Amino acid sequence: MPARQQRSGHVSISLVLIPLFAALTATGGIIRIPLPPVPFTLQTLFVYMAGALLGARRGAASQLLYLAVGLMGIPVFGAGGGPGYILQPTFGYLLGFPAAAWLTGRLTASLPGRIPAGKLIRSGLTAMPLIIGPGACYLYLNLTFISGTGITLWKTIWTGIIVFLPAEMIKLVIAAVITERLTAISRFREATHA
Amino acid sequence: MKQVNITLGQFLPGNSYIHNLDPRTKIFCSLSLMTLVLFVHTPQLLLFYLCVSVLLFFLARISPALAFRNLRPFLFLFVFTIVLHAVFTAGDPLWRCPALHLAVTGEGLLRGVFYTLRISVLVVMASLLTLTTQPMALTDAVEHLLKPFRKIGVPAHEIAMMLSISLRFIPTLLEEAERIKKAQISRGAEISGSLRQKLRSLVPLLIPLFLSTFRRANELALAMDARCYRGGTGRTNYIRLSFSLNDFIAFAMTLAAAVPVLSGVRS
Repeated sequence: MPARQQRSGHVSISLVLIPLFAALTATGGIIRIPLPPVPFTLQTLFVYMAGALLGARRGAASQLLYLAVGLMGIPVFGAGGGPGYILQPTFGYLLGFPAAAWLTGRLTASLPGRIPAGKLIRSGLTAMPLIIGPGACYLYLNLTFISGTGITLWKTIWTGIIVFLPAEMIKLVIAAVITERLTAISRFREATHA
Repeated sequence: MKQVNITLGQFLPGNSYIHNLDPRTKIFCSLSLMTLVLFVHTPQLLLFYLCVSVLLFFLARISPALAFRNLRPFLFLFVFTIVLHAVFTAGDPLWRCPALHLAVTGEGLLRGVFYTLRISVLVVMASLLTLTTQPMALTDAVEHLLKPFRKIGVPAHEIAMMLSISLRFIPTLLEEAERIKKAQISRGAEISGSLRQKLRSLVPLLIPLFLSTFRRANELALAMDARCYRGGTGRTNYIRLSFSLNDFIAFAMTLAAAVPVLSGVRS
């Protein structure tokens, strides 16, 4: 954690970058593009980018912070916020964000400078199950135990996994394009790793 | 885009018994109450906790209409719960739908309503915490509650600091996004149009947003350095948290509210 890395008298840039990325993911939860059938929010785009730009640990920390901010009642999750959101069937997807950011960070970490779009797409595809997996499990558990409704396995796979895939792919591609352009600016990489 | 009061979240200013409790007390008591409700399996007990939450709203001087507003995002879940229970619970059919081989049963409807009410009580209790506590007060409370864990390497102060930085910057980044969008439109960027165009327009919106975010991060780190910020050691707070008699009354009331569930578990 940032406290350990601090040099005497200098604020670690992580102490500032982590919350700013949490705020970016939050912005992604508020800005929405009306897209039938489900509104399209940008959170996961920032999840992949947090991993790629901040690295595994700081990326994961930023997403944990995002969850904390939402649970404190700021309406930054897809449909609001507050501690009651834990009971929403879709809360599981949010739980996967820190893990997905961490894995994306690990897989792109070896690159010294520019991150090619293809590399991020591949890393993102590997990390995507970490969002969708817990999401679908939570959906199943939530509907089975909290609301006491039975839901079949096939229905969980359809409504919890397949419906999300096209939008997730689009977001990953956009994240990859933006990350490639951003990391092409050398000044930018220096700033994140200071 | 709704931007009003985003930093305050759900907080409603007020001067009630609940508003004036220590935020640590509120976190502890609401978490305990929510855990208790999860163990409720009989309608009588549920009714008891429903009364408790109504009483709490009365103590906080918040109109119950606001509690309903917090339930709105759950509407889909409620309908889903009631319908599935009504259809799939065995019992005396009230109404049959021969085409689908389904029958709505009275038992099923009651069960659906029971589960719906239980989720509602949970959500309402959870929302009371954020309705009566400012996010910044919650941040302070989190720092205090995490302090004992510093020995095992939990950076309590840094977590609280980062929470306040993100709370501070969410509205700023939203404004920034809006400003960049307008700037790009004025330069002739296509924001509306076909789906493909809408998605393409995200690139000229997000790249400047990221660049300005990193610029802000550097400026903020520099500003903190210039003010000799050096973490949590020896730092004092403007607002000091302290427990009062009211907090102990709240603990006692929570304990009293736990009695029915705890005695039920034993028997």
